[in-house]
Amino acid sequence: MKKMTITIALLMAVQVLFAAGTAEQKSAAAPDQLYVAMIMKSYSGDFWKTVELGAKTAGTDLGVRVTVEAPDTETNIEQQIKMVETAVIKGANILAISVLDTKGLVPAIEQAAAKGVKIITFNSMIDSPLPLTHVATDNWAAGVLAGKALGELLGGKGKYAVLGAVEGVKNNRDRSDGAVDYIKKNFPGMQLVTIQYTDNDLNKGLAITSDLITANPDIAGFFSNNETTTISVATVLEEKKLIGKIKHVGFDATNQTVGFLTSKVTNAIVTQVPFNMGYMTVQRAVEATKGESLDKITDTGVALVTLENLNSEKVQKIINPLK
Amino acid sequence: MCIFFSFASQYFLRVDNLLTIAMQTAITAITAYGMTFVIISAAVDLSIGSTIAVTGVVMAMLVKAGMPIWSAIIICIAIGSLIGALNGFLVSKMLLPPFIATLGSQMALRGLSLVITDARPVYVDNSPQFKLLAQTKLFSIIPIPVLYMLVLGLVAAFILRKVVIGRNIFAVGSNEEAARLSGINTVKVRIFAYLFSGCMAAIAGILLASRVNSGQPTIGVGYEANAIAAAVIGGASMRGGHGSISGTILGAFIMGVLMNGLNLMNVSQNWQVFATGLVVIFAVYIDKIRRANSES
Repeated sequence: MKKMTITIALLMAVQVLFAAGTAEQKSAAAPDQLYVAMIMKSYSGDFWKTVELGAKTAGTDLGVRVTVEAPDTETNIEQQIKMVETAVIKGANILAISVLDTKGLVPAIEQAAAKGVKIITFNSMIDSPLPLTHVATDNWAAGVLAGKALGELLGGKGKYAVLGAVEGVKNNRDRSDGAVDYIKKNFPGMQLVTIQYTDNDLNKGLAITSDLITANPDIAGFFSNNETTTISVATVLEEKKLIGKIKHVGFDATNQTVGFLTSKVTNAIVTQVPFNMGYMTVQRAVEATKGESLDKITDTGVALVTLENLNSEKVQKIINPLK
Repeated sequence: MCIFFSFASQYFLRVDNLLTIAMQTAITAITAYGMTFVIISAAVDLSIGSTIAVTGVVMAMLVKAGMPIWSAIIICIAIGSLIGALNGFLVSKMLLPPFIATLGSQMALRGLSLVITDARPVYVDNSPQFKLLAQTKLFSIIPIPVLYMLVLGLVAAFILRKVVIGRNIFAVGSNEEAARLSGINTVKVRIFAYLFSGCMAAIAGILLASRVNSGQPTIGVGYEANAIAAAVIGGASMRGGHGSISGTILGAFIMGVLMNGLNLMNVSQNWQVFATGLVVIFAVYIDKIRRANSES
């Protein structure tokens, strides 16, 4: 009896979920409307929420139907494959995807393309010639911008270190390497102490930053290449009362990192424009269906946020699009 | 190891660096105290990292909402303890294998911390006192987390050695059946071990949140592995019945010193993880030999 009750309860729960799903579909669908199925890497963090907002805004502006979804974790490749298959069944005209794995998603994408769905990638690339364009931040260029900012802050001389998040991810690594490469070429008076990676662990980042300063008391600058590492570096500079003595260029302008900018711990923050990423992806999708030929890469741009330009309308639009 | 590092880096032995090591070790040590209790009871707690995340974000949310810091701390410690007690209940009453039960709660709690924060960090920008919890320095030199680590270590050691329920954990861990027959309420003992682990994880969560002035829903991934490593390096046996707080704190420091020393020498993070792995294997092997000798 008890088992029966539980089964009935579960069935009811499933039914409620289904009802919620279909209700959403009914309200969104209209016949003959272009349908862009967007599959992101993750739903967590302001970055992805802003990408979603950009895509939805473009959907409204251009009059196409846009759905946005993402797997539960950034390792759940299988779930992402299922999302691709479901999008095809739901009749997507264009599939815009930020793949979790450069190779793992190839068969699913090929099957979708074989059924006539046009493919666009954004944020992370796939190992296949099928995508019509790739919409992304040029992370190397972002690194160059950071390197330039740090070089200018230090007047072209002194020791500096780079704190990166995940060494195995090309997007992340390009930021570090872009910065170091630019500094090497343009500021020969600066010496790189090390590039360290934290596995995106905040606590590890705190320890590494603190130890780097201990081992190199004359260190003059830091570049940290994502939000977590930026919080790590800034927290240590604040704790050790080194504000202003060690210059810091961070990455990803969020509430907390911008807080470090206003308290002058961090001198500049390179930031991506996730809104553009969502918006331009849908824009390119629409162009693709009109048969226009697209550039292989669509750069969504980066911006340098400093205390001086923080309150300008242009920068606010980039860092606070959700407000 | 310390001797090696003091030659390898001129900065290693400086007082401020030694204090930094102590501070960097604090989180591992505090969570490892709880893990030691659980390991001695012949079980394991894989939910520590997620408990850190849940209590950290709840702490940040409560403080951000304007709640006095002390009441927020009490609520978070209560949440951590409740999580621990639930783990203990699943293991001792529902008889789920500890690995599975706490793996389940690890995943569920991680999900929960993402759900309640909408997967965004909770930045505490309205309470300058909040970060003082972990950022104060005693006599303007000793970082406060070091003090927490020492005090909690004393409390944990006292419970394990002097309090009946603490001593019963050893009995349950060595031979649960014998413990039950001698009149020990094994369910209560197991629940207590997990409760203590959850409570320690909550304190670690609060400290981490305060240190970075925000609640991070993704923080703490894999911290249970560090806690297990510290406990086993310190001589705790995964078969139960063996372990001590002094050993665990030593184990945590061995890992802390290793990481700090390698950082000072600019050794890449990837090699540091590798080195820690070797230390765990080596330490447990030494312990095994020592134990075999003392038994024969």
